Amino acid sequence: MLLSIKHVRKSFGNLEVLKDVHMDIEKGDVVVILGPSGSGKTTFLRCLNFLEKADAGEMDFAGMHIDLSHPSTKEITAVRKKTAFVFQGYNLFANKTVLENVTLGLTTGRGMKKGEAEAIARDALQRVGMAERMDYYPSQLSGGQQQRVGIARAMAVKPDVILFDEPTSALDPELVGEVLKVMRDLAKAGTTMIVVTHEMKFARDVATHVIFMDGGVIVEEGTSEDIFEHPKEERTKKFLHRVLCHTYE
Amino acid sequence: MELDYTFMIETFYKVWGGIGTTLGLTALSLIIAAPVAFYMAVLRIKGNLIGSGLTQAYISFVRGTPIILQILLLYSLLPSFLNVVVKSLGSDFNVFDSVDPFWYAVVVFSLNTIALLAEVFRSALLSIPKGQLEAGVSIGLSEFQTYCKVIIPQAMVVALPAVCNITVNLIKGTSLAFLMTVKDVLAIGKIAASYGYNYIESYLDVFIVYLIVCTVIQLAYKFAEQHVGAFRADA
Repeated sequence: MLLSIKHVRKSFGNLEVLKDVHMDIEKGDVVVILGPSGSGKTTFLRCLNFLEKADAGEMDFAGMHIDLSHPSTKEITAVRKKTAFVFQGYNLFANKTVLENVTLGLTTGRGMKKGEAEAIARDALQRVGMAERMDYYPSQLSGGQQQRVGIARAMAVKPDVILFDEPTSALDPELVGEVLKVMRDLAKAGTTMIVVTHEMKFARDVATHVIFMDGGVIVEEGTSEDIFEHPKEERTKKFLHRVLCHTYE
Repeated sequence: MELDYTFMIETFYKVWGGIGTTLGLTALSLIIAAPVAFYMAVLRIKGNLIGSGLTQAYISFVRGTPIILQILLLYSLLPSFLNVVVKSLGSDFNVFDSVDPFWYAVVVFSLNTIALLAEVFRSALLSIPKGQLEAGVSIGLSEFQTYCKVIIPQAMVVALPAVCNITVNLIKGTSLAFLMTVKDVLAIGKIAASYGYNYIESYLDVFIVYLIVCTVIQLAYKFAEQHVGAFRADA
């Protein structure tokens, strides 16, 4: 088991957004989390690398057993060095070039030499098709290009698992494809990924494991065939019906 | 009305000689104030209730009183206070004769600039989207590293126009130092004029000197902003 997380609870004020959520991931898994907005998917993902602090929960990862409600600074740093995050809003460093965005986690974050870091960054940018834009600033790129750089930045630190938080939701429709293609390539190359998304086709084709969340709980989970072809729960069926056959009436 | 041009030109050079004092006072105040102001800004954003509260109280105190009053008060207070300290240390150093009032002016304008800069730095730091901090820590940087490499450099660019404003206002504001018998640009002009009652000529000189200096400063800031803000789409 690469990563195991269980009994995760989280409330914002009186609103309980996560009620005892769990997840087990093997190396090479592509886990897709589906669910209506407000179901707690993003919060769950953010709890995994402590961008959000869970109220309760346990995590087994990289030989550590972590109490999610009281993580030590050391544990937080260790988890963050072994994971990477791709944001809905890209969150590129605006004052850094594309290349610097990718190298910063290696040089400043991990004390790697500049030349070595740049070689890794070039390779990562090549894989997302952004090698030609290395010296551009984020403000000079389209949303799709920025997100591809965001993915390269996550890949470059060679994490055990990459967390994707609705990576295509902020993009213009015609730019979604280029980002999904990069993610498909990553999955094909055996990258362990946890993806929160609304892209059903991507989930269906790429996911090794699909989780359907609603109201802060996991309603149903299984292979993509289990969920998409033979959903058992009424809520899952309704959700899939709504998003797969949506007509603009 | 006839202007005495010979006097005007002679006086211009005299007045121009006061530039060192004016700019020295301005630069010293800014250099002293900047790090303190930055620390205060951080305190207000991330600090505990006491730190943040004290900072806020200080800022309101400075902003809520006229600078001329601050000058008069501190110029009365500081020398006597310093004298007590020196005497209690057993030194026979004469504070009243030996300390150049220039240094009292540095203290007053530094204290004033701290409050103004703290607010500018605070709003500039807050203007940088929090997502970049999250992105930094998500790839293994510490929060401190992310602030140093990503947040602060961007915040400083945001702050530049306001810092330019503060600088120009400070240059002009230091003219009040003549209340403390500091011989800056304005004081020199005033003294030169009083010998022959050539006030108009002298003040016109002072006018031109301030105009030149402030224009150059503004151009310099504009250039700096373009240079360090090159990463922005609209720069």
